[in-house]
Order: sequence, then C-alpha cells, then structure tokens
Amino acid sequence: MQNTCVLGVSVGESFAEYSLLSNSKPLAQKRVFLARENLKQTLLQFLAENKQNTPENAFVSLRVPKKLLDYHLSGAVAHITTEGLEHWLSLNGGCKELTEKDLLFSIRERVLANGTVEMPLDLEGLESIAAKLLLMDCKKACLHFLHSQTNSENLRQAQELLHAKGIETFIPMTSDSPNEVERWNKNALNATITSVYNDRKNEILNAFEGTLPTENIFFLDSEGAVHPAHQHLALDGQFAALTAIGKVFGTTQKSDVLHLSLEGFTLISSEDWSSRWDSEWGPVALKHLRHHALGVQPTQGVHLNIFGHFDFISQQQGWEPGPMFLGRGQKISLLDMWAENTKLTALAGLQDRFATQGVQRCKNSLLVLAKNSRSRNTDLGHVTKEIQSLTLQRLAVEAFLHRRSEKMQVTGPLAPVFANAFKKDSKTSVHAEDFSESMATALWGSQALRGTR
Amino acid sequence: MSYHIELLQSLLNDFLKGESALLTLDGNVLAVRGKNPVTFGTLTAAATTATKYLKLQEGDIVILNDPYSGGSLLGEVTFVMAVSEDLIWVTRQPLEASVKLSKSVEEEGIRIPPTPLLQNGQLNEVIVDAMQAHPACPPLFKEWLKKQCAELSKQAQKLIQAIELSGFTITNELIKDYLNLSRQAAWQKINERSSGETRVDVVLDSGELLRVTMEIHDGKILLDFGGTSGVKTVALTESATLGVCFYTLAKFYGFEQIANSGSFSILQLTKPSGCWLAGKYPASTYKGMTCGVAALETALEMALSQIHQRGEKALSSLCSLQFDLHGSAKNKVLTLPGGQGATSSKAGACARAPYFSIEQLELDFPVKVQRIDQRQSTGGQGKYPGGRGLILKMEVRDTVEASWMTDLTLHRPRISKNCTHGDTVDLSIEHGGQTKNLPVLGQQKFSAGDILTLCSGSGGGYGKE
Repeated sequence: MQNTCVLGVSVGESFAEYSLLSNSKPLAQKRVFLARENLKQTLLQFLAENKQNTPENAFVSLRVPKKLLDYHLSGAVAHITTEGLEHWLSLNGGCKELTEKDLLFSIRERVLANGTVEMPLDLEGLESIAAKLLLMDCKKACLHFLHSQTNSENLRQAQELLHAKGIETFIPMTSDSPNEVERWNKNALNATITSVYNDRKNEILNAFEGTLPTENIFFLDSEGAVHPAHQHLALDGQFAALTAIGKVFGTTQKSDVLHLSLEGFTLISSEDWSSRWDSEWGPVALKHLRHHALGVQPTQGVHLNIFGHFDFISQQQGWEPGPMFLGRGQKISLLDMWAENTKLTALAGLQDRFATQGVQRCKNSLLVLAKNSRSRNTDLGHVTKEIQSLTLQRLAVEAFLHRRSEKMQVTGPLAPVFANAFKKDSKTSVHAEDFSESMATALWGSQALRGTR
Repeated sequence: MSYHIELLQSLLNDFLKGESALLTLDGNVLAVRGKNPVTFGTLTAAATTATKYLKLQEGDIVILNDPYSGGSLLGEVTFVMAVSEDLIWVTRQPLEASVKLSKSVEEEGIRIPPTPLLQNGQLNEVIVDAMQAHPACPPLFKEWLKKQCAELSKQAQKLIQAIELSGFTITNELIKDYLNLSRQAAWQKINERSSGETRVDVVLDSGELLRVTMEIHDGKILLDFGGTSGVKTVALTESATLGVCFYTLAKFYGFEQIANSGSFSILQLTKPSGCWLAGKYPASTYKGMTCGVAALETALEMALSQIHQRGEKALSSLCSLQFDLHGSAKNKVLTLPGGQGATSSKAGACARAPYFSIEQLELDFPVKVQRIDQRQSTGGQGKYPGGRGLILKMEVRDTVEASWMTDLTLHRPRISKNCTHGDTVDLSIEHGGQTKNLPVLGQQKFSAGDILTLCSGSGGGYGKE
C-alpha cells in the first residue's frame, strides 16, 4: 500500500503548528511561537527538513488574530448603506466599531420586503460617494442594501459603478443569515481583514512553492469544508481549527471535546452547530461547531478578588508579552502557576523559552499579592498549590456543566498538564497528542476532500 | 481551603444563567443572577412562597407567574425546583412579550399561582391541560412546559454530578463563610465611600409620587419610602421593589456579583402600607414592573448622586419606550432604551438599539422602516453631553394595530445645578402633512400612509459648556 503523506498547518493567534502525517500517524511535527519566529521561514524550514516525505496534499486552518479584526490595525473600509440605516450596525454592535465614522455613507435606494424596487439606486449620489472615497484614498467599500437578498438589482448596479471607479466592493453572502445585522457584520469584518488574511495566506503559499503545487493546498472553513487555495475565505476560516478538532476527536466517539491549547480552553460540541458568532463587533453570521470558552483560560491574570482571596481576572492577557515565565510579561497569569511543571517546560514551542528571571519575578509578584491577601499566607508553595487546585477543579466542573454529550475527550498541548482535573470523571479521556490542532486539520481536511470527490 | 469559596462562586456563575437563583431550603440565598432588577427580589420570594405552601421532594418543580407570589410579568414563567434535599433552584423563562394596558392583573393574561408541575417525575397533566384551556393561555404552552421541565431536570442532575465530581462538599460551614465574606465585602464597598442622607421625589406621569429618604451610615443603607403615594395606575410588588433597590445599589457600589443573603443584609427598607411600591392584588403590575421600576431606579440614582457628590451623575433616561406591533398571528415588541446621563468626567453613553432584524420586521408587519438612528438631542447639553436616545421612523403600509407604553415625560425632578435634563420620550404620528403627538401610553389602529416617529429619551448633561 502506498504511504500517503498529508500536511496539516494550523495558524492561530500566537502559535502555529505543522503536522506531517503518514497514514494518519505523525512523521514530523513542530510548534512555532509567532511572536518570535516567522511563519513562512519556519514552514520552509520544516518542509526542507522533511523533503524526503513530500505530502500529497496540505490542509490549512488559518485564523486571523483578533487584534487584526480591528480596523485601526487592518485599515478602515467604507460602508454604503440604504438611507436611514447607515448607523444600524453600530447601534446593534458590540463594544468595538467596525469602521471610522467618516466612512459611513447612506445612499438613496429602497427595496421593499416583497422585492419591489420602491426607489431605484441614486446613481448621482453614488458617484459623489465614489469621488469622496477616492479623495480619501479609500479603495474598499461594503454595500449594505436592505432586502438585497430578495432583489439585488440596486446592489448589482452599485457594484458595477464602483468597480468602474476602481473601488473594490464587498457584498453580504445571501446564504449567510436571514438577519441583515449578522450578514452585514460578517461582510464588514471580511472586508476589514481581507488584505491581512491574503498576506498571511500568501506567506503560507510562498513557503510551499517548489514543494507542493497550489492545487494541492486546501484551506478549511469553520463549517469544516475544504476550499482550494485561490478561493477567498477570510472570516470563514476563523473557527476552522476548532471545527476540525471537534470532528476528528469528537464525532467518532460521540463526545464533546475539551481543547486545552496554549491560546485558550474551549469546549467543542461534536454535533451541535451554531450559525452565529457573538463577537466584540456584534453578532456575525458564521456557522461553526458550537463551542464554549471556559471561564478559566491559560493567560488569565491572577489577582485578589473582592474577598481578598486569590482568583482569576476574567480577561485573557494573551501571549504578547505572555506569561511572566517567558521573561517579558509583567502580570501573573494562570500558566505561571505551572512554570516549574516539567510537562509544561518540555512543551514544543515553549521549551528553551523559560526565563529564570521571569519565574523569579513572578514569585516576587505573588509574594506581594500574598501579603495583601486576606489570609496573609506568604508560603508561596502553599499559595501556588491552592491556585492550581482551584484551576483543576474549575476546569472539571465547568467542562462537565457545559458539555452536551455524556462523554468528553480532552485534547491539546496542555491536556497532559491538566490531566489530573479529570481523573475522577470516568466518561472523560485525555489525549496525550501534543499537536492536535494541526493533526485534526490534516485528518479532517483529507476526509472532507474525499467527501467532495 | 480558602479557595473553596472561589470554587463555590464559580460553580454558581457557571450554573446560574439568565434570571436565576440558588437557595438552601432553610432560606439562605446563595446567589441571584440576572439583568432585570426585579429578579433580585422576586426569585427569592417565589422560592419562599412555593416552599411554604407546597412540600417539594427532590426533582419536583413548581411553576408560577403571579407577581404577588414572586413572579414578574405574566409573560415570564418562574420555575422553582428542588435540586436536592437542601437546594432550591429558581429560574425564569420568557414565554411571550406584549405591552399590557390593563386595570387589573387578571386582564394581563393567565395568572398562575404556585402550582405543582412535576411531582415524583410525573408531569401534572391535569393541571397543565386546564391551563392550556384558559383563553389567555398562549398556544403550545403545554409543549413548552414539557420542554422546560426536561431541560431543568437535566441541568439539575448535572449540577449534583458536577458537585460530586469536584470532590468538594457544600457544607453549612462553607455557606456560612461565603455569606459572611459577602456581607463584609458589601459593607466594605459601602464604607469606603461617603456617608450621608438625602431625600428625593420622583413623580410618574399618572401622578403617583415616589418619595425616598436614603441614609448611608456605617456600611448600611436605609431606604424609607414614607410619603410615597398610593396606587393609581402603577403598582409594584414588595419583592420587586426590594429587588430593584438591591440591584441599583449593588451595581453602584460594585458588588452585584455577590448577590446573596450576606450582601442583602446591608439594605433595610421601610414602606408605608398602601403605597404603590407594595401593591396588592388585584392591581395591575405590568406598568409597575416596567415604568415603576424605571422611576425607582431613577430616584435611587439621584439619591446616590446627591450623597456621593464626587461621583455625581446626570439623570439617565431609564424608562424605555415599548412599542408593540400586533399582527394577525404574531406581535413584536420594540423596546427603545434611553441614553445615559453624563458624569463629571465623561459624556453619557448613547442608547443601543434592541437586537432585531428590520428585514424580518418588514416581512412580518405592513411597515417600512424609514430611519433608525440616534436622535438629535436638544436637551442634555453640557460640558459633557448626555447620551443620545434612539429614533425609529416607520411608514405604515397597511392597517396595523399597536399598543405602547412609557413614562417619566411630564414631571422633571429637581436636579443639581451642575446637571441639565435630557430629552423625554417622544411619540408622534404624521398623516397627510399633519403631525400629532401621541400620549405616553395607548392602543390604536394605524392606517396606510401614517408615519410613526418614536424617540426614546436622552441622558442629562453635566457641567457648563
């Protein structure tokens, strides 16, 4: 039987993983810390180191970092909306704005609920908007016309006019959602990240040049479908890795999957789907396997709560600068409590990054907190053990309360670190597999591709 | 282990979703969670009433919606469940939403006193069928109840298993420690800030007076509602009043995440019997639970602002405008909230629109939305302006009936000289070039060509421009 090699590449917010598999067994794997290493260079190096095992296909799950969904970093896009509704998205939105206020435009046009064009597109008005956009050096515009799903005549006219002026247009997908707020939010975010996503995608494709033809490279979306490299995905890929994990580790076992990655602890349903993502920009039409971010997260800060006890801050600090044990972080995080745990220190992508000074600074910060705590217990060993116990028990309880299946699989690089949390749960199995995201991407991608052929 | 307190707290946070509470059978409230202020008094009242009159075995469920038994609006059903032999779980689920203009609570819909729903694992079919047969009962009520029962039973079982799994026991001592710590934390939060006394009057559009004397002293808050008038058209239940008072104060001081018997103890209420804050059956409570709550919140915020002058805040427009469109088979309530008051250091937050689909609205009802946006405010000016309210302008395409309700538009309470009043709620109808204001509450048919303009209130401004 011919050995079939496939490559899974999973790119997250701060880490990327590569898994080269042969008949579903790992041949080579690598984790990259994106704050310190270059994606393209490391992928090139990985492929060079394994050139004797050229993959037949490569599958990629690519997630745009949340901070780049912000228009301040990725570039603002104009929104041209049916007159009277130009602020509809921001009225419904979350805590973050989708674009600059100066780039919100209204246009006279109106389609009724039954599809009748009550007011044709104001072409003169649109010409004027186009002129303003070009003056402002804005070459991208979202078109949000009410009931355009029912009758797209005005929308198509607008697209043609703007294309003729050299302005790229983004229109909501008709299949996305019956709710225009969700469709338009998705469209707006897609427009914002399209350049960033394409840059990231091209980095990956360039790394494959000479090794694998583009037609053998596929990108996964949040619904678990595979797409050829030339197809535009952007936001649709946001939960691709989680869906792949849910499908690979959960579906066959009819169980939920608790994925303990370095970037987040997420409980993934293997069968339930959600059609909406409640993002910081508002509700977004994005079908994905239903998942729940646990209240305990790896880079959550540690502080003294209202009772003067050690507890966790609700927001994650992320990996830039990261936990104090890396040497640059200034605030204690949950993972710092395991800084001397050999399973964590040996983790691929993190080993050799532990800084003794950082670990010591963390202990000093913990001592300061301990002195101010209600118990004033300055035995750091005891304090650390208590925080660890709290973490493990919270993980166990929350995962149990929120899971929809009776059984649960625990995956991710931090699964072995936190395995003790689940020893009492007979319906839970812990996977020792370190590179589950990239493995799942490769395995699910192959399965999905077979399904389309 | 000190972390057992945090474990208990996180268990409560993970388990209690929406409007819900967990209590011990002997009456200790472990936690209340929710976004509706009345929740913080009514859920515990519901549990007390249900357990007082009905002996609950483990797994049994009681339902009610009667506001005088700890319910809120009749369109919300409260479930009281014995999770174990010593834990009671209360949760509230919305069933239907509509604006009720009625003189008595019986006219608001089907009123359910505490009624056994699930006993020894069996649904009480006879009672449920009787409810379904009631003319005011919504269709498919029985199926909805069955679904809720199944879900509640599943969640309750999960809670017990989760506690067993975690290996820690919720002992009486742990509960006592938790409640003591909560009481101390609430006390500390109050004590860290100013003490003082003040009196505030708020008058509703229908003429009811709300008078509150607030005294903050030694970490406790005393609220005396002496002088508050009797019921005219607005009535709120005692438990709802308590809930609103606690919620408003806890949010102000920052201890709303530890809403339990411990933190409740910092609050003392005195109400004259017969006042509208302690309404009695059969007074209608819909207006009380909506506009009355807003008036009470407004009065408390004013009082807090007067006592804590450093944290002075202009008045927020807390009374939303509720507009209920009636279709042939369905209705839709559009709730337009108002803007927030400005403070001494920043402008008030503008109102956010309720989450709904304009496309779906236009598909379901013969209306065309011309505009939805933040309204232009003439009021609320200042160095820091008040948060803008919302404007919704709709053209009626064919005959449609609607009912609506709001309040606090006529009488402006006395405010500090640093603050300005925001705009009040405004409703108007335009037809054939003529514009007419609509009253603060009403019900009528609108015809094709009518253009409705609905504006929610805006927040007050702060400081000289």
